Amino acid sequence: MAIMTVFANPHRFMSVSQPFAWIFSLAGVALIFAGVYMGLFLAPADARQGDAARIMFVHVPSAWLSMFAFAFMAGASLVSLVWRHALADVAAKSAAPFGAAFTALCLTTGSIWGYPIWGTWWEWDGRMTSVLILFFIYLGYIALWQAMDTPQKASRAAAVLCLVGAVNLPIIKFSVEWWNTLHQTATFFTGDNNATYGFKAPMYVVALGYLALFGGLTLFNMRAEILLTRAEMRLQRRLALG
Amino acid sequence: MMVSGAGAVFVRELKQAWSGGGGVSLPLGFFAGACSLTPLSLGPEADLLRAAGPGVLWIALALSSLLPMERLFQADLEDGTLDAYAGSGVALEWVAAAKTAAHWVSTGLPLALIAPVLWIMLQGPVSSMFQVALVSSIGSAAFFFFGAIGAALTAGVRRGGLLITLVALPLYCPAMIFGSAALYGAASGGDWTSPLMLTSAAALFAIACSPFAAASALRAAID
Amino acid sequence: MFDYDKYAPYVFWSYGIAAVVLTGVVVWTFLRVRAAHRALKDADDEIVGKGREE
Repeated sequence: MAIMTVFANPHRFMSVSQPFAWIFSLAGVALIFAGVYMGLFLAPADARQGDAARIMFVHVPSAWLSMFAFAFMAGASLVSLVWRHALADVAAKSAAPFGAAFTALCLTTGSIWGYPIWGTWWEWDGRMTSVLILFFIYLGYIALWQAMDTPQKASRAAAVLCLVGAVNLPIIKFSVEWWNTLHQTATFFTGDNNATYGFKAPMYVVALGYLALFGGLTLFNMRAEILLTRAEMRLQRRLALG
Repeated sequence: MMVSGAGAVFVRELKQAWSGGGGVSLPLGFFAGACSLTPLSLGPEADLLRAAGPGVLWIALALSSLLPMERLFQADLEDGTLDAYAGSGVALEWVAAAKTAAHWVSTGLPLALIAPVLWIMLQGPVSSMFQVALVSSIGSAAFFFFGAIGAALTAGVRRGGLLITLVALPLYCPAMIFGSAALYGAASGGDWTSPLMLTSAAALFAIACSPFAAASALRAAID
Repeated sequence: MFDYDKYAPYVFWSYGIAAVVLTGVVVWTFLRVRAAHRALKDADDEIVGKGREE
């Protein structure tokens, strides 16, 4: 509850958030470096995919983050619509570019992983296709924020779009899976279920690093957003005073 | 009372659509034009058109239904009609539902009616014309009601047409997939009813959630 | 040091792109925070310049 009150008030938020933003960001960078080191040097090559499986350590966590970031934005949008919570709007808006970046990272690394394993740079496989559509939802969300002339209107519209997207995402995912099994083509890829613990550890470390970096950068971006709003308000007050 | 208010909106919108010049015929022209240009780029071979035709017809239908969306709520927002509706006691959810429904009747159904003609031009079998009309009318309902969400979200944006496309296209995925699967089923004489059921489910879902999302977005645009 | 066999270019491209994207978002955020501080300072200076303290 104490956290809720801190985050309810932009002034309180500005006074306490900076150390957290730094700690999360730095921890994120450190964890990512540690995970990449584990993934490139310590982890053994996969029995079936050889060293190509090392791509997994940057790819799979970015897929998790692409979904986590959207879930975070949807939660913030719900809070903003139901309780008219100013900071929730800022949170959803600030997280969007990072969510989109992780989604783009997931798509590109997935494509590069796909070539040596599947023999093609792009496979219209169920998961890749739904991540691509998620990427378009991110783009639409960001574009909607930018298109509106007042922040009040933009925040309502963006929150509605985010919730509509969140409600539709499982349906889109289901239909894409259905479509994909309908058009099933032979793939060389079989699921990697027997990965050993030593092989999975770097993935979890990188995922934690991504998560911390996402949190830290989102806090920084929220701070920037609030400062820009303040600057805008002061300028308007000055104009009003003549 | 609510329902009669919505009925009045529906009738008014329908009259306006059929009396106003070009409102209905432009999407029809776009639909026919897009389908007719396809053979010019794919080549006129009948086998190729037979293989690509149902998919081409379906993407053209989806894009044609997006085309008139820009003005769906924007015109009423600009001339104050939406304010009048909001002040008249009719819930905006009903207004959004009635406007979209009227829009679908005046534009979506004509699109579905000319779909079989385009189907034949794309070398589809004549025997499945009725199925094409049915699938197109149900699919266009899904496209129109999902598109209405995009229209409401961008009602306050000048030149929001391209933005609607970006916002609404991800929502089109289920109807896109199941509708074209139904058309391919109809073309090959295979199973077309189960994808049609799934298309109908997408349409019903769109009809159920579109008025609430659209009204919520319109409320923000009004105040 | 690295012996990733025929997969080496794919692995390095993936990690390279990840590095570029992540560095990109960090730099972007840094620039945005700096721009926000600058905008606030400019707004304050304008007010002070006009002799209107808050």
